[in-house]
Amino acid sequence: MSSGFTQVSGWGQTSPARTFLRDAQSVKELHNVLTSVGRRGAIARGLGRSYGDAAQNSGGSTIRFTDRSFSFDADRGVVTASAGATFDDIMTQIIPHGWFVPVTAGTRQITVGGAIAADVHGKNHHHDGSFGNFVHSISLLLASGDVAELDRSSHHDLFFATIGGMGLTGVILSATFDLLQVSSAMMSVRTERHGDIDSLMESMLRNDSAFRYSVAWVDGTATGKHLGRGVITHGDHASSDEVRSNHKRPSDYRSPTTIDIPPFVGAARSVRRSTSLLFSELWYRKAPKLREGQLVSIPSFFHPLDGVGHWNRLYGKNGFVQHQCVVPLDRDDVIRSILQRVSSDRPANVVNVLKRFGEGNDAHLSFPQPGWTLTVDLPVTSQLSTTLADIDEMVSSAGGRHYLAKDATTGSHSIRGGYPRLGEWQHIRHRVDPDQRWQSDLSRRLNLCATLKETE
Amino acid sequence: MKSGTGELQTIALFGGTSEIGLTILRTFVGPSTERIVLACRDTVSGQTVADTFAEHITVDVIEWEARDLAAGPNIISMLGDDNRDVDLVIIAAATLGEQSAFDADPVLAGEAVVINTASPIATLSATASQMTAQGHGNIIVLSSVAGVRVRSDNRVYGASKSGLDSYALALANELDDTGVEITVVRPGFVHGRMTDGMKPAPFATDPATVASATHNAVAAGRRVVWVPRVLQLVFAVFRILPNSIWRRIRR
Repeated sequence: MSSGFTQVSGWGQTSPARTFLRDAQSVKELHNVLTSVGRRGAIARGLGRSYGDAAQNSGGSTIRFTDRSFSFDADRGVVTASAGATFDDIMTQIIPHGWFVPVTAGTRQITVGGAIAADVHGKNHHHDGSFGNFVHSISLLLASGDVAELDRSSHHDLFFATIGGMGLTGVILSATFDLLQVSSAMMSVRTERHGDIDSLMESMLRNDSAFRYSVAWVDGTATGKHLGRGVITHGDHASSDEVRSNHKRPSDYRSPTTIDIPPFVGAARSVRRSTSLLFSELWYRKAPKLREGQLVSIPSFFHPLDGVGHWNRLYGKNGFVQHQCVVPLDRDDVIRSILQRVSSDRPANVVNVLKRFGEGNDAHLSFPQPGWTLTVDLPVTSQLSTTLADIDEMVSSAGGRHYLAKDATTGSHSIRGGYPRLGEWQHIRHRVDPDQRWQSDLSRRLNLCATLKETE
Repeated sequence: MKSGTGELQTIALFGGTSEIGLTILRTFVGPSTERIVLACRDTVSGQTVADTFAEHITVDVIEWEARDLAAGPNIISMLGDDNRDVDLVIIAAATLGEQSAFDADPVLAGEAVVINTASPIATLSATASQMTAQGHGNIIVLSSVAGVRVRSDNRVYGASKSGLDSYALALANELDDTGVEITVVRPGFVHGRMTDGMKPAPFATDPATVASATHNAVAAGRRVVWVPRVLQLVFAVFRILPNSIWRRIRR
């Protein structure tokens, strides 16, 4: 067990925290750590891919559960994994056997514990829902030191409070979840380019149900009649017939090696207005108007950014905010307004993603709900807080919400409005953690763990 | 907590109606600011000030008597009670007074030092402990060039600011690597309510200039800010003047 005060931050590198970072390899070590947690409490941290302040705890403890082991039943397609197991490791082992994770975020570098705590979603949300939908059971270390076994029938309220619960109900120790059967390690992809946001959204609504995976990249620098122009990629796991010609069997899957952005690059911001304009133009132009049946590898379809280690450093030392919201389907006007607001600031903005969410689930704080979800990357500048306040106002008044795993700036009132089941969740949380043992910078900033008298 | 864009959620001002203190505070108020605490003696004026802030901000006006040394630390500890953090504390309360009045009433002189030195030190001390525990925070201490080298015609005010300034800088050293940062502000003559009717000294400035210089210093992580900046040079000379010359300097 190693430990010490150190500075950690989320993937966006904003608001770093000085925290007592403690590694525990086993449940016994976790128990030891717990006995010495003080008033500022503790929060679990995986690979630090939350963008904001969800997995850090200023002045308190931040615990990394470093057991990365998992077991895999290749006949039934079920994985039982320690919370510290990574999607990268799991995929490397399961894909050659013809299985795939049921949901993958935009990176493989996340842990099972983090995926449950944030109830991550992927390009298949409209088809399959979020990761929590595939979880059978969770083993949770409670504030009392006891370990609870949660599933849909036993402790079901705590089970759903833990999915999407941002680590604030306890430390997830392990979980069992279902896999998806695939017959190749390739994706069959359809690419469409659209010259404006209306045509892009209209096409997405019309076509996405025909594909398991669907997502659009949107040009955040385009304005006027080109506002929201972008490229839709729909995809399905390629059948064995489709890949026969190029011999890509599941067993050919390799987790690709990455190039790494060294720390000194972060001293100067590399993503600037000029580079973002150039990138956006090239990215848009290189996409075909329509291409079908293209075979693409799993990493380049799902995790293109994993090809560049520490790409977050490209935004410079002030970091960046990845803002993700969802608004109801009939409020597509809000998506247009957000894109207008973003482009009017002329930011150095590269990665913007639009997707249609399907049904949500029973988890109290799970982010996805039916509607349009838009993600924008925005480097921190002096005007950013005003921009984000305007956007948050648009989202809130449309009945939308913000993704807690990415949030770094939203006010607590927007979160209360966006998550109507927050009070219910707080009651469940209070029952298992009356002394506020689990805390994070996120929970304090958004007053998530407010004492019950404040919320009643 | 600070937001990802560096905005502050909770700000407390000791000397809640202080003109310079409020002007500094306003430069830190943004869309993410949720709570402001104004600690002041005159809560009626404090409430008038409170009403000027945007509707989404909760402003608590708390009665605070600087001469009561326990009052400041009590407010700080109350702020920490609800498990939310204090991001910025501005210590701005001070009394300027007339040297002639201090000469006529030694108790008044002592009281001025309580208000200008003892009380801020008590509050600073409590703030430092609390912010160290939360792992982050900013403190702004209103000092004055008058404390850099104390003039005989302003000796009570100057000496009291000198004491506060020295304590704050030493505390800042103590807080290295705790995530807590102190910025000591040393303005010259500032036009405003406190100096109304007084003859301005050379290099006089105004609250808005002090506030923006302070804001920039905090953002840049500078420990001492002189307003205007030229006073740093002026006082570098003043500090080494032989006393035979210094003793004759009057404002």
